[in-house]
Amino acid sequence: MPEKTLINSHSRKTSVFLTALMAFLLAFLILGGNRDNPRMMAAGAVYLVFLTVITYLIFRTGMVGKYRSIFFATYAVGFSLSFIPMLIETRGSMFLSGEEILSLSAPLCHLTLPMIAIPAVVYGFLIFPTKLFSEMGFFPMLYLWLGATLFLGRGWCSWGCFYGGVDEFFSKLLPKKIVSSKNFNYTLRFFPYAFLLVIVLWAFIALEPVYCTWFCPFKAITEFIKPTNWLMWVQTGIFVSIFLGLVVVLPLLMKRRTQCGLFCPFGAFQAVIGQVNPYRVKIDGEKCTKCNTCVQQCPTFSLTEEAVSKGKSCISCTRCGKCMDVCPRGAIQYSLIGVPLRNSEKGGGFFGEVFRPDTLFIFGALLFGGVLSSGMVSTSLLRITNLAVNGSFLLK
Amino acid sequence: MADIKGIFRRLGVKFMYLLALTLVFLVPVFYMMFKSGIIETIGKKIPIKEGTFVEADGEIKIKRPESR
Repeated sequence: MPEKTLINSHSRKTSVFLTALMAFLLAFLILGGNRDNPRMMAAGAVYLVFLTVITYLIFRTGMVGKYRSIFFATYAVGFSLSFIPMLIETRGSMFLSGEEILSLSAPLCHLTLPMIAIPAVVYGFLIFPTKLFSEMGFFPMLYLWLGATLFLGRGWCSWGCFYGGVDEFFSKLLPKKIVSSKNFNYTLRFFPYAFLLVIVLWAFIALEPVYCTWFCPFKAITEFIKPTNWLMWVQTGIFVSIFLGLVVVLPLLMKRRTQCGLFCPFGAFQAVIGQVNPYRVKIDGEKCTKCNTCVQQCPTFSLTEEAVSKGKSCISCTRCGKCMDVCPRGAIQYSLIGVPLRNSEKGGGFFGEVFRPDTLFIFGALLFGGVLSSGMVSTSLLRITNLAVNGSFLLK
Repeated sequence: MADIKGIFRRLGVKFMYLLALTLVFLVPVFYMMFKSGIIETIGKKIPIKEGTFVEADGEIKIKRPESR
C-alpha cells in the first residue's frame, strides 16, 4: 500500500499567508457590517476565529473534505438555531399563516428559484408569496444565486447551501456506516433531474410552488403552513417523512448525503447551470489504481467506476473534497478547464502554491461560504449565550 | 503548426488562471455590492411583479393571470 499523499496540502509559509489574507478579508466583510451592533460584532469575531482556524487546517493539511465538513455542519446548525427562534420571536411559532401569505411575508429560499422562473418570465409575476426586495425576497436571493453559480457552480451545495450541512451533519455522526452502499443502484442519482423537470412543469401549470407545498424536507426546520385539513396533513406527512428518511436516517446509516445526492431538484438545477463555473474535479489516470475508494465514499454519489475510468467526476459533483481526502495515491484534484493536471504534490514554491487551481477554488469558496454563514452563525452564538445566561433562545 | 497550437494552449491556460483569480477578487466585491442598492436599481428594471394572493374557499391561492 503506497503512502497516502494529500494533494491539496500547502507549505507552512503559504498556509500562513493564505490564512492571514482570508482573516483580513473576513474581518473586513463580517465585522465591517456589524459596526453599530457590538454584540453581533463580538459574536462575529468568535466566528471569524473559527473560520481562520478552519482555513489554516484546510490549506496546511490538505484535508479539504474533513475541515470543510466541520465548517459546513456548523453553518447548518447555526442556521437552524438562528432561523427557528427568529420565527418564534416574530410570529410566535414556525407556522406560516394565511395573513403572512396575503402580505407576502414568506422568506424565499434558493430551492424555489427553478419553479418560479418560468411563470415569472411568462406571466411577469411571482408565484411565491414573497416581496421583491425584502431581505429574503426574490431579487436578493436571485443575486445570491447568480454569485453562487459564478463562484462555486455546484460547489454551492458543499460550501454555501444552508440546508446541505444538515444531512452532512447527520452523515458524520456515526463512526462507521451501518448500511453498505456496495450494491447501490447508481441509476438513482438521475432521479433529481427527472424530479426537477416534473416540479418545474407542475409549478408552471398549477401556478403554485409545488416543491415547497408538497416535498421540501427543510420545512421541518424552517416554516410550514399549519395543517387544518386532510390534504394539508398529507403534505405535512410527506415532507416530514422525506426529512426523517433522507436528511436524518439514511445519512446516519450510509454516511452519505442522500438528500443532496438523490433527491434535491435544486442540486440538479445547479449541476446543470453551474457548468459555467470553470472548476472541475479530475482524476489523474496515471496515478489512479482504480481501487474505487472514492466511489465508495463520495457523499453525493458523484463518482462511479465509469466516471473514474473517464478521469472526471459526474456533473453532480459538489466539489466537497472528500474524494481527495480518501484517495491513497493523491490522484484526484481540483482543476481548471483547459489546464493540465498537476504532476507533483509540491506546487513549486510559494507562488506556485498560491496560484494552484485548488488554492484558488478553496479560497474563493471558503470566503463566499464564510461571509454568507456569518450572520446566521453569529446570531446562533448570541442565542446560545442568551440560553446560558437568561435561560432562553429568544433574544426579544 | 505545433508551435501555434502550443502558444494558444499556453494562452488558454493563462486566461483560465486569470479568470480564476478574478473570481476570487470578485467575492468581496459581490458582498460589498449587496448592500449598495444595486439589487434594487437593476431589479426595478426587470418587469417582474409580486404575486397577488387571495382567499378562496378557505384556501389561499394566487390570483391567476388573465393575459400579460
